[in-house]
Amino acid sequence: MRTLPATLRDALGDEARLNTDAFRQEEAQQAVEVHHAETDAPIVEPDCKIGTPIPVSATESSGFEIFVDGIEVSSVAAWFSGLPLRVGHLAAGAVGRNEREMDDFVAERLETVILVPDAMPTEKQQKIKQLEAVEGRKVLIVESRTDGEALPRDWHLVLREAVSKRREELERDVIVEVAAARVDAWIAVDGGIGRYRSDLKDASRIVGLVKSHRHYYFTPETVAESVFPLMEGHRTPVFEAAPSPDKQAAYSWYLRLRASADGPPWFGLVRVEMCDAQAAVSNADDVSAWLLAERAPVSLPDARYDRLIYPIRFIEQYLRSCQPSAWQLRALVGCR
Amino acid sequence: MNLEGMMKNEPSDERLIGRVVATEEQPNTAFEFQFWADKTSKIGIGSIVEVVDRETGAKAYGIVTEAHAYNDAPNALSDYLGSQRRPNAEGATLRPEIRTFKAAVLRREPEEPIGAAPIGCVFLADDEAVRKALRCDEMELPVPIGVYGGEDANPVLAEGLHLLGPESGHLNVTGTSGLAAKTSYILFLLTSIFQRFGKDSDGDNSVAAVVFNVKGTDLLFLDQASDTLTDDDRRIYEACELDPKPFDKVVYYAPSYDDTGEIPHSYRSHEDLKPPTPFSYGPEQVLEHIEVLLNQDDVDAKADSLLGFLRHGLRDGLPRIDAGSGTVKATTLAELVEYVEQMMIVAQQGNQFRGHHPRTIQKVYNRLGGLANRFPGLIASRGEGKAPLPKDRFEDRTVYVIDVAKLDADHQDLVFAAVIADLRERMSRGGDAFGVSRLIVVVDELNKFAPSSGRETYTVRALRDIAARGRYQGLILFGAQQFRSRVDPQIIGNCSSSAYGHILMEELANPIYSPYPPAVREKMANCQQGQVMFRHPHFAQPVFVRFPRPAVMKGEDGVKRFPPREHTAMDRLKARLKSAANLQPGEINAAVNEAFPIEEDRERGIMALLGKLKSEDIAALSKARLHKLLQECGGARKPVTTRTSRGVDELDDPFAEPEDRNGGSG
Repeated sequence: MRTLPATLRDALGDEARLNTDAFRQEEAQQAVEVHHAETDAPIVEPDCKIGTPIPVSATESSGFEIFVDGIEVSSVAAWFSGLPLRVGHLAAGAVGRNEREMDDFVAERLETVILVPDAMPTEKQQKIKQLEAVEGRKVLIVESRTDGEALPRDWHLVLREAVSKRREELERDVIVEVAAARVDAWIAVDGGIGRYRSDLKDASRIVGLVKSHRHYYFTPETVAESVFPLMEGHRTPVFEAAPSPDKQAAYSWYLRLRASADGPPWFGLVRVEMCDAQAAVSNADDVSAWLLAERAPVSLPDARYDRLIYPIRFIEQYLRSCQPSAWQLRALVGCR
Repeated sequence: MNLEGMMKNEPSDERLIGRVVATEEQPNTAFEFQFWADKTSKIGIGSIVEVVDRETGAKAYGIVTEAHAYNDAPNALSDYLGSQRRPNAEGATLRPEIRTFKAAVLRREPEEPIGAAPIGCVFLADDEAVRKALRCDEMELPVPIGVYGGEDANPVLAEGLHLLGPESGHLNVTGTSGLAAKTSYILFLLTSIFQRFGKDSDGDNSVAAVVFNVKGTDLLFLDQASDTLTDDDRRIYEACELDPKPFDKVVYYAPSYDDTGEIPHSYRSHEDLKPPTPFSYGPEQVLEHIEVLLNQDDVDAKADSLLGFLRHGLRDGLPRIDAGSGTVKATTLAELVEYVEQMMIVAQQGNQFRGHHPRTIQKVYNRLGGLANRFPGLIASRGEGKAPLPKDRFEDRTVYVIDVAKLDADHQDLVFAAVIADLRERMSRGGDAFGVSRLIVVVDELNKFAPSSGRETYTVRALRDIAARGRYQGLILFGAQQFRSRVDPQIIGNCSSSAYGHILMEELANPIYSPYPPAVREKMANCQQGQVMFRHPHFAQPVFVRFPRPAVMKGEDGVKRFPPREHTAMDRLKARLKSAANLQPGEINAAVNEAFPIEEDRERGIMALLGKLKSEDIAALSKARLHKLLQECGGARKPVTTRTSRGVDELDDPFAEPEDRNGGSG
């Protein structure tokens, strides 16, 4: 009788080198590259210019009813013939808010993933695939993006991106599910939503909140003159945000949630994204006012509290509480 | 997020309130665990919970000792900033709140091995769980001590073998005076003991109680029903399977009002009530408890030696003053004082009497002579004294109340010392010392009679002895005080059960309360009327119980319904002449009224008469002599005829010598 492997060590055999520090030490982060557009993004809001900030009237209440966020944690688990294997845990969830109280989860996805380079021997890939026998576990065979033979360093990046991509897929599933179930509800999603546009029937009430500004849709001069000087409670006009010509555009505006005389220029600065131009233009003021209302309660002690709204942090906290412990993930690897 | 959402895998159960949370930093132990509960859960300090490990079936019962509530605000500053610096600002989202509780383990199932409390779902305890948690299912002689819970009151039982001996024994009750904590609870316990103790078991489980009514009228109507019981009180009595009724058998004692020894000095003097039996102390008790009656300075070594000589003399006979052979008897304080006076005269002539210096004798003479005046009524100057309490057998389910409320502190000390000494002596004799298997003696203000600091008095030694040995001999101490920290530690240490009502914060700051967690101490400081924390050897942890108002009439109600009457001069006269064989009460009335027809004069006349009667032979007093004495006291002259043995009415000669009239025809 054949027994299924219980750990990655079982699947790989003695030839593999396990990462004994898996999930113990944080991996060094790659330096974040900031991209600026060569030309300013087109303004779609009528009679507005990027250099003219628009004040937003703050309100006490917010119209958002559902919030969506996802989390990921991953670590290099082992090396086989110089190829890295990665294990991670991904989660995405949507929580409703009812009369100011965070309510039940509307949708959630939890998954433990094992990412295997397709350069691995097929026999080993199949052996690792058997680890999927446990519910909630997925083995992903990842293709190299590099033409020709990929170097181990490339595989590190590819697997890392594959983890994030899979997390985005889970988030997409959650967004699609809640958008279909609650067509009249305003949904706030952590991160950009332009990439999900084709999956959504009606995205007019879905709003993405981008906290990390890796891609500016204006030239550095415009950003310095028109975006960074935004005062608290002011926004830019709605502009068309197209990360690249081959990707679907979203409609976006910058909003200053909080101001700090001493902080960096992006302190309290978020970029709001909507899929539909008309919806973005007509709702930009209301949505901005709601986001200003979401400043309370504050999301401390999270370091991103200036841009992170409380309900999103709430989901993160919940998803992290469901996350397997480092010991459990190390057990999957087979670390003793 | 509601509880059901978080507990998807748990079966629906209306008692389910939370889940044990054990972390590496705060793991469960064999004696303590933590759990969280929804903020709507009806749970607090003192609540009993049941933890079930559904995997193994293991259970733990615990009592909540700490309660915390918090949300995810990391600190006050972030909450301040997040609320826009406005206290009433309502953010777009309510922070989730959590309630966490620490519970002390009451019992585990299985009991062995003694492992850590299981990690599982937490349920509010129901009737059965309370019984199990407090081991009520293992008791031989259960006694209800109150109820646990609100409207669904579950009875809490104590093991009689531990409350009333012999396994362990004694009870101590602490509570702030005037907040219905001590006396009310002891009365409820006595009701419970009298109605339930040993009712369902074989063997001699007879029990009686001795209670001191030290102040007011609280304990003077124990035989009268209360009409102030609420529905909640009745519910508690019903839950405890008790009949809310007054005590069936109550015997009252009160000190004599005067030297007649016939009038009880008590607020329980209404004619519709059975009056207390008057008591007084004779010379033997006076000398036995002289340290209570005299100052410490009075009883120096020399005086103590002389008092010892007199003490022996009272028991075995006093040596004759004239140095002749044989002994003389002194049965009254007056006779003893007279004897000491003669000693003094002889000593002054020979500069000593049997080695005692004249000054010492004079000092003792002065002190003893003043006692009868200092303690009129309580110390019988002319009789032998009649001590309170039955001489031989106490009756089953009977409360013996010694009412000393009308006495001042010194008098009360004498009574208390004498009674405690009496009980201790009976206890020391062993055998069937009391006639009942358990005699409970209730001592209020224990910190006064047995203070933790101060000199070791006879009373302290007696109470220590009772606390140490009483449970073997059936003498059980129910002590009560406002400040437990100020009671002799040996006595406290021997009390196996303790009840704590409302306690002042200053008292709670004492180290003796340090074993209790801060939340429990705070609850003690805020204990409502009708609630106590009960510590008992059968319970692994103290439990908070509610108890009803006593089913007896409150003192203030009793006084309204049965107003006490002041003793009149006529009462005293009748009491004084009770032993006069030739005089009926009606005749005394008539004689006095005739002598003093004006009411205003009557009392003065009777008081004067009482003074004259001191030198009369009361037993032989005739009507004619009474008239004569009344006239001497300023009463009107009126001839009185008396029927002679010959059947002829003779004119009573008011000027005849007493011998003539008393002697009759002789």
